[in-house]
Amino acid sequence: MDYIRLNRRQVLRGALGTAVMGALTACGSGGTTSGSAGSGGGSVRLPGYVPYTGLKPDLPGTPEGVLPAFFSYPANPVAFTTEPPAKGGVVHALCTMNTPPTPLGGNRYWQALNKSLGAELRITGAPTADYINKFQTLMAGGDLPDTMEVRANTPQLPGLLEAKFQDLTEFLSGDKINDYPGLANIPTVSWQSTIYNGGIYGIPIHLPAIRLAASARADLIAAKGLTTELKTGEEFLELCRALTEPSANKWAIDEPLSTLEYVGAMLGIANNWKAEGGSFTKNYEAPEMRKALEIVAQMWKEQAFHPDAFTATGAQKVAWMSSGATKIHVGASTWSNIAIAARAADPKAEIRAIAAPKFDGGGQAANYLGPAIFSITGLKKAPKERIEEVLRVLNWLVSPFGTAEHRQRVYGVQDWDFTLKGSDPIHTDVGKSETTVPTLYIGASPVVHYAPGFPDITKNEYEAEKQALTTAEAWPIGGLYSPTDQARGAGLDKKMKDLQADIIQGRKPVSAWDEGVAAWKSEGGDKIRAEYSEALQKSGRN
Amino acid sequence: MSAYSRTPAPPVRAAKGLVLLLCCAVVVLPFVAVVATSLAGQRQINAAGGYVLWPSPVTFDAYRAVFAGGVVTRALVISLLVTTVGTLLSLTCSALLAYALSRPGSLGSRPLLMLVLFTLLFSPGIIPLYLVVRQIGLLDSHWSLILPVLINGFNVIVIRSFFLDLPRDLLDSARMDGAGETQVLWRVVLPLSKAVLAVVGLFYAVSYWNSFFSAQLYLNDAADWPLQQVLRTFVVDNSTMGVDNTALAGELPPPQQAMQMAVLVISLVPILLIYPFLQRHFAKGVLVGAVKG
Repeated sequence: MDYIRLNRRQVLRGALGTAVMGALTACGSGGTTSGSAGSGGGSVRLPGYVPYTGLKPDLPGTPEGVLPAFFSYPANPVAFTTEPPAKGGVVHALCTMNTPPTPLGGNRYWQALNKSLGAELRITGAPTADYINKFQTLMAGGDLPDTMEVRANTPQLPGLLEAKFQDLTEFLSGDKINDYPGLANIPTVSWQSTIYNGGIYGIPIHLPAIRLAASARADLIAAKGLTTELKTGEEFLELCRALTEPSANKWAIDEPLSTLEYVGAMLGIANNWKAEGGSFTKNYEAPEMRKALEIVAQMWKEQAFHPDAFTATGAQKVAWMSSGATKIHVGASTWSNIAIAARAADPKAEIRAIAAPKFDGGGQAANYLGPAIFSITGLKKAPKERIEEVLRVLNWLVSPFGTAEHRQRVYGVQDWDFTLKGSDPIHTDVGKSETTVPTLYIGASPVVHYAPGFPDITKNEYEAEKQALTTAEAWPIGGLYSPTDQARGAGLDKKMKDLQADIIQGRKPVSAWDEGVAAWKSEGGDKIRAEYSEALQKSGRN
Repeated sequence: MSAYSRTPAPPVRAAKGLVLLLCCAVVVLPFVAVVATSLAGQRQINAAGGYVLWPSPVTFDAYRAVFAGGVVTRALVISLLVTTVGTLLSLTCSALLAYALSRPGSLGSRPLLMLVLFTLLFSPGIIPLYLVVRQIGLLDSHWSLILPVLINGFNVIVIRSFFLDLPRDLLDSARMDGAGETQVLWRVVLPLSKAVLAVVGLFYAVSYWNSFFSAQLYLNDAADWPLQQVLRTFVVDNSTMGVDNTALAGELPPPQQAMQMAVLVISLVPILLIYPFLQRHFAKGVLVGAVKG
């Protein structure tokens, strides 16, 4: 699966801090659609949505936003493009690079990619945690590459985009995107987040719309005579207690802050902001938040969480789940990587989603939707011909799952970087080192459900998403803009997350939460609320 | 005979020995745990709750995964080169500057000393420094890891203090024998200053070895990254370390905890190898340099 693997905090940091999000209800996948979006000064016609129809998925995408699923990789991937998109030279990209690849000189994957692109793809990268420093330094120095990964929490983003980045409206708005069929295959919901200053300022890196889900080792839970079908919050807590065995180095869950949000959803806390009577209430202010904190702090006290849960990397958490050290993972809604790793460790392992129940019973709790992007790829201002050339390169990179271009970008050169197991490409050891060229942070195909070699995992993940979307709760500030949130929201959120971590770990009492919320309000929260409320009124949506 | 000079009774000696052994264990056990965990499999690590003290069975999977593809090996060579060249240059320049500042009557020594002290209090911001490095054409060059940090004010002060402590008469007699300033420095001062040079050299070496931020800012091509910048991606970030989910069908991912420990071992070993050779100079060098103003 061509996913960007992130933990919850990274997703929050990278995407959800954005102030310019689209109304997720505009999402559609059943045919050609388009819409308009306004943000921070004007409206623009969004790029049309023309889903790729060259390949029939085993389980179809739905208008509600369920992603298509493939049980195996197409045996003979067809070409998506007809010629190399660039006419020589260099296309220079700035993006996240978490795993440095084998250098170009000894990297057949990269060399083949350059040949297919018709240009040398030169990448300036920085690890996730350091990326913003690198980005800001390059901006200040004026050495702008052709494409740049732009994260929504970049300070003064609208002004920066206007000053340094190309407005792509004339190239991509409405039907103009049909010149770039790969880009047209990106769902409309993700394009909403590229709108700034009344223009389209980037290409979205697509993520599933559901931003939080719980998955569990159903096999180990069943072995204890328990079930993942929960009806109340109390049953969830009982399940966690039953799975907690610290003396055997086994714990129930791996991620406290995501669990707090998960429990919050059970308690009815809104998806980040709640629109009511023309104004907003932040989820921090919800009375239920104190209860959620009490519950999760109690879970921590009962040692339900792995002791390293606050500091472990995503890869470590996958290892915990696959070995059974933890049995419930709360994180991204695409968890097939965990299921695959668990299956490799134990052929009987089975991961299933745990649909969050309303805390006091009465059905399934809300499932939070997000902006459905990780970041956007912005382009440096350049003459029209150059912009078109770079867009063609991006169009190549986002070629849909199952095409020859996608297989080459993700898996590399056959019998060198990957071999076929059935029709599923599997990386060789060489391929693991070569294919970490971080193209997926420059241009990535829309996500699909695909667990190579394990159709049952693919189906489970697909069904879980379908089930979750029945109680989807949209992103309420979609299409609205708050300059204060843009400039200071991420910092304010970090303080609140740190406070949540302190309370959960018992370093501060739950009563400290009220002081934290008061500080959040006075330091910018109230201003953000006022700005969103004003934007809401102007939008005429209230 | 005073109490402290009497030989203590055997039980007291045993108790002291036990306490010392415990202190040693507190220091050594984390290292043992790091090395052992780096050699253990994921199952054993999980069963032990995160760290093991005796890997069973011993597996080098973590090291294989870290060194796969040659990226870490290449970065290791770059780091060794930068550390060696940087330390030699830094030590040379620092010693020369410290000597000039230690000589009474050197032209401009007072303002120069003030400038050196100024750098201890104020450091340039990231972006101004980046602009300077860019302006002088050091971007994408390994010299950008060395030249902007060539001289460390604190180290210069330490060496200068040591030089000031040398007997003035000794230097004067060398001059009376016809030695110029260069000869005095080379034949008299430096041979007497091995302790402080060893210590400051170690400071510089550790600093160059551990540096990653400069590489992140100034080196755009990941192929040029030194070891610490590469290893940082293994420890800090949510990286799958070269293992795409797509590749996981039917095989276990590398042991993550073991890989992090392997990374620690790889980054620690070179400095650990140097330290014993410099240790005998360490206390003396730092103390002598530190107490003189």
